[in-house]
Amino acid sequence: MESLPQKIPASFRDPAGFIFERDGEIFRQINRSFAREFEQFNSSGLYGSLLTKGLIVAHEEIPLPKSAGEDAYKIIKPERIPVLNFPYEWSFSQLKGAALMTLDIQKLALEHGMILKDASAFNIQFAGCEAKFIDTLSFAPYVEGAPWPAYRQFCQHFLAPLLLMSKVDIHLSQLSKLYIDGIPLNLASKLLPRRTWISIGALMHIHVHAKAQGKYSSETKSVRTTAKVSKIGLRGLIDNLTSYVHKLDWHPQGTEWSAYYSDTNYTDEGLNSKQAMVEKLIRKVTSPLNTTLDLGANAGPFSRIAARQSKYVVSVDLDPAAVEKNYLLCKKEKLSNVLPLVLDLTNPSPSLGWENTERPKFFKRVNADLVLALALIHHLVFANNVPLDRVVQFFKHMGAWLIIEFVPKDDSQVRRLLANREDIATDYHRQGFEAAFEQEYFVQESMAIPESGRRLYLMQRKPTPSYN
Amino acid sequence: MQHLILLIFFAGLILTSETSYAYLDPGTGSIILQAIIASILGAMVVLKMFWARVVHFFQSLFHRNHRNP
Repeated sequence: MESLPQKIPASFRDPAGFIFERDGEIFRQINRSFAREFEQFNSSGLYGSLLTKGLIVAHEEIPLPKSAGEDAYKIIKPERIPVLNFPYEWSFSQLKGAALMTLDIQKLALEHGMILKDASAFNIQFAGCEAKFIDTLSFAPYVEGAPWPAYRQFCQHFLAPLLLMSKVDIHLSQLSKLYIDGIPLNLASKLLPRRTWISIGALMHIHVHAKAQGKYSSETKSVRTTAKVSKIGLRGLIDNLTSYVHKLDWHPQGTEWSAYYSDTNYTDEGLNSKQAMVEKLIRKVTSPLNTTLDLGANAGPFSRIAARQSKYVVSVDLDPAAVEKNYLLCKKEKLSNVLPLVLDLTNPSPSLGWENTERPKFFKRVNADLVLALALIHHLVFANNVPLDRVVQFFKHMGAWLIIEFVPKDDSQVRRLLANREDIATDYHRQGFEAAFEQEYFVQESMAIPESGRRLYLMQRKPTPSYN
Repeated sequence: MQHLILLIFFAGLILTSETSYAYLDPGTGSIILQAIIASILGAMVVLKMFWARVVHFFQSLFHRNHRNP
C-alpha cells in the first residue's frame, strides 16, 4: 500500500504543476491546464534537443495512479539531484555557468518555437560539477512579437550578482540570501563602481534597467501586448547577454586561503603521507559510502581522494576562492561526483523563502555517511571559541563516521590564531580531545602524521536511541 | 540609426528622471527597455547579414574574373 504523496513546500507558484514526494521518490505532476504546452515541449523536439545536449534533467512518464486528482494530466519522474544546492552557495564560475546555460536554453527554445517563462537561478541545480536545468514546466509557446517575460529575472538572478561579485566583492554573492528573488537592480546599480557606467552591457541591463523599473513602477497601462519585440531582436538580445556574461571574470587572488597549501605545516612528505593515510582510513569505513561530506575542504584535494571510494562527495569551504578552484579543477577532470559549495560552518545556509520552508537549510539537504574534518577543528575551537564538547555534538548530528585531524596547540597555525587571542580552551590537548570525542564516538583508529604534530582519527558514532 | 538615437534619448530621459519607489514592480519598465534594446540589436543583426551578403557578392565577382583569364 503506497503512502500518501507529500507536496514539496518549495513547489507551489506554478499553476502548470508541482513536485511531490512519495515513498522517498520525487515526482512532478503536470496539470491539465498545461497539457498543450507540455505536448508541444515534446513534439517540437525541444525536450529531445535539451536532453541530447545534457542541458535538462531527464524524466520518464509514469502511469497516473487512481489517487491522482482531477486536474492531473500526467505524472513524470525526473532524474534525481543527489544533494540540492542554491545560488548563494555557488562560486563565481558556478553562477556564470548557470547563467550561460539559461541563455543557451532560451536560444534553443526559440529555435523550437518556445520560450522560457522564467529565468530564476533556482531552476538550475548542480549534480557534481555539472549544471542541470530542473524546471521541465518552464517552457511556453513563443508568440511572435511578444517580449521575453524572463528578462528582468535574468538580470536580477544572474547578471547583477555576477557583476557585483566580479566588480565589487566576491562575498556579495551572499546578497542572494537576503534577496531570494534576485538582487534589486536599483541596489545593484548603487553598489557597482562608476566604471561600470561606461560598459554598455552594465549600463543597459543594470543601470538604465534599474531606472526604467523605477520610472514605470506605477504604470497601470499594460505594455505586455503593445511593446513589440521581433524574433531577430530577441535573438540579438540573448546573444548580447551571452557574450556579455562570457566576458565577466573573477580571479581568486588575495583571499586568505588561495596560497594555503604552500604556506602550511606540511612538508611535501607530510602532505603525501597525509593523503595516503586519509585514503587508508576511508577504506576502513564498514558502512556503504553514499555521501561523504568534506568540511573545510579548501580546494578539495581530499574530496577527490574520497570520491574514488564514495558515491558522492559534498565539498564545502568558507572561502569562495578555494571553492572556485575546486570547481574549476573538477570541471577539468570531468568529475561527476564531487559538489563544491561555499559554506560558513559557523553560520550555514538557513531555511529561507516562503514560510522558511521553500529553501531548506543546508544540513537538512545533506545526509552524510562519512564526514571529513581535516585541518578544521582548531578553527572552530580557537577562531570561533566553540567549546570542544559542542564541536563533538555538531559533528555527531552530521553522520555516523568521522575522519578528523587533531591539530595541537604548538602547531604554527594554532599559534597564529592564538597570537592575539586569549586562550580559553584549557581542555584542548590530545587527552582532552580524545576524552571529548569518546563520549559520542568509538575511536577505530588513530595515527600520527609524520613531520607534523598532528594526528588523524577514524571514529564511528556510538549508537543511541535516536541513532543506530 | 534612428533606433540608436531613440535609445540614447531614452537613456538620457531615464537617467535624469526622479525614481519613484513604488513597492511592487509590475515589470513594465523592463518590458519597455527590452523592446528598445531588442529593436537596436535586431537592426544590427539585419545590418550584419546585409553586409555579409554585400561582401559575398563582391567575392563571387572576383572569383568569376579569375576563372576567365
